[in-house]
Amino acid sequence: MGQSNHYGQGTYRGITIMQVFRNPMEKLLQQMEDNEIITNPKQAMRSLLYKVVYRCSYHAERLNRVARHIFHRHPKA
Amino acid sequence: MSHPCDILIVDDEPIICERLKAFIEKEGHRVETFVEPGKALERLGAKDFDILISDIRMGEIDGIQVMERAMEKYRRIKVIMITGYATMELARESMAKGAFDFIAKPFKSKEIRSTIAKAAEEIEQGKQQRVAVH
Repeated sequence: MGQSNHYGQGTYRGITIMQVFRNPMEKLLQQMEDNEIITNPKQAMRSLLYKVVYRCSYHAERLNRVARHIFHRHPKA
Repeated sequence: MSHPCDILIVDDEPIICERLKAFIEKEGHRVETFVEPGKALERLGAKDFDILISDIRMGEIDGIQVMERAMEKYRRIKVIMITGYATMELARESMAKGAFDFIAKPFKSKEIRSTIAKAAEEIEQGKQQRVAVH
């Protein structure tokens, strides 16, 4: 494991703040809790596939919107 | 820590309700969970919640209906939709009907925690603005 200290990062009102832990174990537990994955236990794989497809379509739509914006502003490009 | 809020969680999977309740309560919020949307609607009729976290696909009553009923009763409620069957159409529909955010399962607990913090922040700002107006 890498270098461990008793500090971590949190956010409050959009500002990144330092979070103080009483001991390294508390920091480790907080990290484990932050990274805990919540999903439907019966259909975990199906949910993951849906999410992958959803994220791809989300990013495709965003790219499409940016492209439309660029070509609308510079029709000759 | 964000401002403490009253949060209602509706999901037909008891394990998801339990996990969400456990870490949201640690943030200082008051949480109630329901696995049956019908009972959640009854509770929404009896009490005003600040935030509603609802699954979408839940049998005879879906999350969109729960959101609509909750917003009819209390317009300032922030609704976070979670689903294991995420599609762009569903996300668009949810956001068009007034959802605060749309989260696809599987998600990390820090993801929903930050969404709740943002919602709590908006609720707090809204309250301060109303106080300033009066």
